[in-house]
Amino acid sequence: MTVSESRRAPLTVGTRLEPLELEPVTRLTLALYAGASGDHNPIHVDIDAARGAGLDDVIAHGMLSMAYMARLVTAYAPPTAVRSLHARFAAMTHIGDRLTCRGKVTQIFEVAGEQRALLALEVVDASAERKLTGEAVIGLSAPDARDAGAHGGQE
Amino acid sequence: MPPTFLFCLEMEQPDPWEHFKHIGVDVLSVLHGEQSFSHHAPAWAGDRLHFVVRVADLYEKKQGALEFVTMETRVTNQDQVHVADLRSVVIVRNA
Repeated sequence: MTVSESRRAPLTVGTRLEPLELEPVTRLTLALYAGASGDHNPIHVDIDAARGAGLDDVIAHGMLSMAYMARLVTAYAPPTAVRSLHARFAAMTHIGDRLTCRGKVTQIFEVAGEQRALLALEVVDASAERKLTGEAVIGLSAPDARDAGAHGGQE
Repeated sequence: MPPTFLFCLEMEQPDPWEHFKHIGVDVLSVLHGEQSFSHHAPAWAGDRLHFVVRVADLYEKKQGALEFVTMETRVTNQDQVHVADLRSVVIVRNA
Protein backbone atom coordinates (compact mmCIF):
# COMPACT_ATOMS: atom_id res chain seq x y z
CA MET A 1 0.00 0.00 0.00
CA THR A 2 2.73 2.45 0.94
CA VAL A 3 4.77 2.53 -2.24
CA SER A 4 8.48 2.83 -1.54
CA GLU A 5 7.76 5.23 1.29
CA SER A 6 11.22 5.04 2.74
CA ARG A 7 12.89 5.67 -0.62
CA ARG A 8 11.06 8.94 -1.22
CA ALA A 9 12.77 12.25 -0.61
CA PRO A 10 11.45 14.02 2.52
CA LEU A 11 8.40 16.17 1.89
CA THR A 12 8.99 19.91 1.83
CA VAL A 13 6.73 22.84 0.99
CA GLY A 14 6.12 22.77 -2.75
CA THR A 15 6.78 19.03 -3.19
CA ARG A 16 4.43 17.63 -5.82
CA LEU A 17 3.09 14.17 -5.09
CA GLU A 18 3.48 11.55 -7.76
CA PRO A 19 0.04 11.55 -9.46
CA LEU A 20 -2.19 8.51 -9.01
CA GLU A 21 -3.78 7.55 -12.34
CA LEU A 22 -6.83 5.30 -12.18
CA GLU A 23 -8.47 3.00 -14.70
CA PRO A 24 -11.67 4.43 -16.26
CA VAL A 25 -14.72 4.19 -14.00
CA THR A 26 -16.96 1.27 -15.00
CA ARG A 27 -20.36 0.07 -13.84
CA LEU A 28 -18.54 -2.78 -12.13
CA THR A 29 -16.39 -0.27 -10.22
CA LEU A 30 -19.57 1.37 -8.91
CA ALA A 31 -21.28 -1.91 -8.08
CA LEU A 32 -18.24 -3.07 -6.12
CA TYR A 33 -17.88 0.28 -4.35
CA ALA A 34 -21.58 0.24 -3.44
CA GLY A 35 -21.01 -3.08 -1.72
CA ALA A 36 -17.72 -2.05 -0.12
CA SER A 37 -18.96 1.32 1.14
CA GLY A 38 -22.47 0.34 2.16
CA ASP A 39 -23.76 3.24 0.05
CA HIS A 40 -26.49 1.47 -1.94
CA ASN A 41 -28.10 4.62 -3.31
CA PRO A 42 -29.54 3.39 -6.64
CA ILE A 43 -28.39 6.56 -8.41
CA HIS A 44 -24.93 4.89 -8.56
CA VAL A 45 -25.94 1.46 -9.85
CA ASP A 46 -29.41 1.55 -11.42
CA ILE A 47 -29.70 3.42 -14.73
CA ASP A 48 -33.51 3.46 -14.50
CA ALA A 49 -33.35 5.14 -11.11
CA ALA A 50 -30.73 7.60 -12.38
CA ARG A 51 -32.93 8.52 -15.36
CA GLY A 52 -35.88 8.86 -13.04
CA ALA A 53 -33.81 11.41 -11.12
CA GLY A 54 -33.21 13.40 -14.30
CA LEU A 55 -29.71 12.14 -15.11
CA ASP A 56 -28.57 10.51 -18.36
CA ASP A 57 -26.84 7.64 -16.60
CA VAL A 58 -25.61 6.51 -13.20
CA ILE A 59 -23.00 8.70 -11.49
CA ALA A 60 -20.07 7.62 -9.36
CA HIS A 61 -20.10 7.90 -5.59
CA GLY A 62 -18.33 11.05 -4.45
CA MET A 63 -16.73 8.88 -1.78
CA LEU A 64 -15.13 6.72 -4.48
CA SER A 65 -13.13 9.75 -5.64
CA MET A 66 -12.33 10.58 -2.03
CA ALA A 67 -11.15 7.01 -1.45
CA TYR A 68 -8.82 7.38 -4.45
CA MET A 69 -7.63 10.69 -3.01
CA ALA A 70 -6.90 8.92 0.27
CA ARG A 71 -4.98 6.25 -1.64
CA LEU A 72 -2.66 8.98 -2.95
CA VAL A 73 -2.22 10.22 0.62
CA THR A 74 -1.43 6.76 2.00
CA ALA A 75 1.30 6.37 -0.61
CA TYR A 76 3.10 9.01 1.49
CA ALA A 77 1.97 8.16 5.03
CA PRO A 78 0.67 5.03 6.74
CA PRO A 79 -3.11 5.14 7.35
CA THR A 80 -2.53 5.66 11.09
CA ALA A 81 -0.58 8.85 10.33
CA VAL A 82 -3.44 10.44 8.38
CA ARG A 83 -4.62 13.09 10.84
CA SER A 84 -7.41 14.58 8.73
CA LEU A 85 -8.97 14.51 5.28
CA HIS A 86 -11.39 16.90 3.67
CA ALA A 87 -13.06 16.84 0.25
CA ARG A 88 -15.44 19.12 -1.60
CA PHE A 89 -17.23 17.34 -4.42
CA ALA A 90 -17.16 19.78 -7.33
CA ALA A 91 -18.58 17.85 -10.29
CA MET A 92 -20.27 14.55 -11.01
CA THR A 93 -18.08 11.63 -12.12
CA HIS A 94 -19.50 9.56 -14.99
CA ILE A 95 -18.96 6.10 -16.43
CA GLY A 96 -15.75 6.06 -18.48
CA ASP A 97 -14.14 8.99 -16.68
CA ARG A 98 -10.42 8.50 -16.25
CA LEU A 99 -9.52 10.01 -12.90
CA THR A 100 -6.15 11.27 -11.74
CA CYS A 101 -5.36 12.30 -8.16
CA ARG A 102 -2.82 15.06 -7.74
CA GLY A 103 -1.42 16.88 -4.78
CA LYS A 104 1.32 19.02 -3.36
CA VAL A 105 2.68 19.99 0.02
CA THR A 106 1.54 23.48 0.99
CA GLN A 107 2.69 23.68 4.60
CA ILE A 108 4.93 21.91 7.12
CA PHE A 109 4.08 22.58 10.75
CA GLU A 110 4.27 21.06 14.20
CA VAL A 111 1.48 20.04 16.56
CA ALA A 112 2.21 18.57 19.99
CA GLY A 113 5.76 17.69 18.98
CA GLU A 114 4.72 16.05 15.73
CA GLN A 115 5.89 17.30 12.35
CA ARG A 116 2.92 17.44 10.01
CA ALA A 117 2.39 18.23 6.33
CA LEU A 118 -0.67 19.89 4.84
CA LEU A 119 -1.41 18.53 1.39
CA ALA A 120 -3.56 20.29 -1.21
CA LEU A 121 -5.29 17.64 -3.31
CA GLU A 122 -7.50 17.37 -6.34
CA VAL A 123 -9.08 14.69 -8.48
CA VAL A 124 -9.45 15.55 -12.16
CA ASP A 125 -10.66 13.72 -15.28
CA ALA A 126 -8.85 13.40 -18.60
CA SER A 127 -10.14 16.80 -19.77
CA ALA A 128 -8.83 18.37 -16.54
CA GLU A 129 -12.32 18.93 -15.15
CA ARG A 130 -11.97 19.07 -11.39
CA LYS A 131 -14.19 16.49 -9.68
CA LEU A 132 -12.97 17.04 -6.16
CA THR A 133 -10.73 19.40 -4.27
CA GLY A 134 -9.42 18.47 -0.89
CA GLU A 135 -6.81 18.67 1.79
CA ALA A 136 -5.11 16.22 4.07
CA VAL A 137 -2.86 16.51 7.09
CA ILE A 138 -0.33 13.74 7.64
CA GLY A 139 2.08 13.15 10.51
CA LEU A 140 5.71 12.90 9.43
CA SER A 141 7.68 12.17 12.57
CA ALA A 142 8.33 8.56 13.58
CA PRO A 143 4.82 7.29 12.81
CA ASP A 144 5.86 3.66 13.18
CA ALA A 145 7.06 4.03 16.77
CA ARG A 146 3.97 5.98 17.81
CA ASP A 147 1.61 3.55 16.11
CA ALA A 148 3.24 0.60 17.82
CA GLY A 149 2.74 2.36 21.15
CA ALA A 150 -0.89 3.19 20.46
CA HIS A 151 -1.63 -0.35 19.37
CA GLY A 152 0.11 -1.87 22.35
CA GLY A 153 -1.96 0.32 24.64
CA GLN A 154 -5.19 -1.20 23.36
CA GLU A 155 -4.29 -4.82 23.83
CA MET B 1 -7.94 0.91 8.21
CA PRO B 2 -8.28 2.98 5.03
CA PRO B 3 -8.68 6.67 5.95
CA THR B 4 -12.25 6.95 4.61
CA PHE B 5 -13.47 3.63 6.04
CA LEU B 6 -15.40 5.10 8.98
CA PHE B 7 -17.81 6.59 6.45
CA CYS B 8 -18.44 3.08 5.13
CA LEU B 9 -19.02 1.73 8.64
CA GLU B 10 -21.48 4.55 9.22
CA MET B 11 -23.42 3.31 6.18
CA GLU B 12 -23.58 -0.22 7.63
CA GLN B 13 -26.81 0.41 9.48
CA PRO B 14 -30.03 -1.30 8.42
CA ASP B 15 -31.16 1.79 6.49
CA PRO B 16 -28.63 4.63 6.35
CA TRP B 17 -31.19 6.80 4.53
CA GLU B 18 -33.87 6.41 7.19
CA HIS B 19 -33.47 9.94 8.53
CA PHE B 20 -33.99 11.35 5.04
CA LYS B 21 -37.14 9.30 4.55
CA HIS B 22 -38.40 10.58 7.90
CA ILE B 23 -38.25 14.15 6.68
CA GLY B 24 -39.73 13.28 3.28
CA VAL B 25 -36.52 13.54 1.24
CA ASP B 26 -36.05 11.21 -1.75
CA VAL B 27 -32.59 9.64 -1.59
CA LEU B 28 -32.29 10.05 -5.38
CA SER B 29 -32.37 13.82 -4.93
CA VAL B 30 -29.42 13.83 -2.53
CA LEU B 31 -25.89 14.77 -3.56
CA HIS B 32 -22.76 14.62 -1.45
CA GLY B 33 -21.30 18.11 -1.14
CA GLU B 34 -18.43 17.77 1.30
CA GLN B 35 -16.87 15.19 3.58
CA SER B 36 -14.28 15.51 6.35
CA PHE B 37 -12.51 13.10 8.65
CA SER B 38 -10.50 14.03 11.73
CA HIS B 39 -8.72 11.02 13.13
CA HIS B 40 -7.76 11.24 16.81
CA ALA B 41 -6.86 7.62 17.60
CA PRO B 42 -6.47 4.55 15.42
CA ALA B 43 -9.24 1.95 15.07
CA TRP B 44 -8.21 -1.69 14.91
CA ALA B 45 -9.85 -4.94 13.88
CA GLY B 46 -11.82 -6.16 16.90
CA ASP B 47 -12.69 -2.68 18.18
CA ARG B 48 -16.33 -1.96 18.95
CA LEU B 49 -17.07 1.50 17.58
CA HIS B 50 -19.95 3.73 18.58
CA PHE B 51 -21.30 6.34 16.14
CA VAL B 52 -23.36 9.31 17.28
CA VAL B 53 -24.75 11.42 14.43
CA ARG B 54 -26.29 14.83 14.80
CA VAL B 55 -27.63 17.40 12.36
CA ALA B 56 -25.34 20.36 12.92
CA ASP B 57 -26.65 22.81 10.34
CA LEU B 58 -29.45 23.20 7.83
CA TYR B 59 -29.84 25.98 5.30
CA GLU B 60 -31.20 26.57 1.82
CA LYS B 61 -30.09 28.35 -1.33
CA LYS B 62 -31.86 29.45 -4.51
CA GLN B 63 -35.23 29.96 -2.78
CA GLY B 64 -35.24 26.45 -1.42
CA ALA B 65 -34.26 24.72 -4.67
CA LEU B 66 -31.19 23.44 -2.84
CA GLU B 67 -31.08 22.48 0.82
CA PHE B 68 -27.79 21.90 2.61
CA VAL B 69 -27.67 19.52 5.55
CA THR B 70 -24.53 19.30 7.67
CA MET B 71 -24.18 16.17 9.76
CA GLU B 72 -21.51 15.55 12.37
CA THR B 73 -20.61 12.10 13.63
CA ARG B 74 -18.56 11.40 16.73
CA VAL B 75 -16.89 7.98 16.83
CA THR B 76 -15.69 6.43 20.07
CA ASN B 77 -14.41 2.94 20.86
CA GLN B 78 -15.13 0.38 23.58
CA ASP B 79 -12.79 2.23 25.98
CA GLN B 80 -14.56 5.57 25.36
CA VAL B 81 -11.52 6.76 23.41
CA HIS B 82 -12.48 9.47 20.93
CA VAL B 83 -11.47 7.84 17.65
CA ALA B 84 -12.68 10.31 15.04
CA ASP B 85 -15.07 13.04 13.97
CA LEU B 86 -16.79 12.93 10.60
CA ARG B 87 -18.56 15.84 8.95
CA SER B 88 -20.80 15.48 5.90
CA VAL B 89 -22.56 18.14 3.87
CA VAL B 90 -25.34 16.71 1.73
CA ILE B 91 -27.28 18.71 -0.82
CA VAL B 92 -30.95 18.00 -1.42
CA ARG B 93 -32.20 19.02 -4.87
CA ASN B 94 -35.83 20.06 -4.62
CA ALA B 95 -37.23 19.85 -8.15
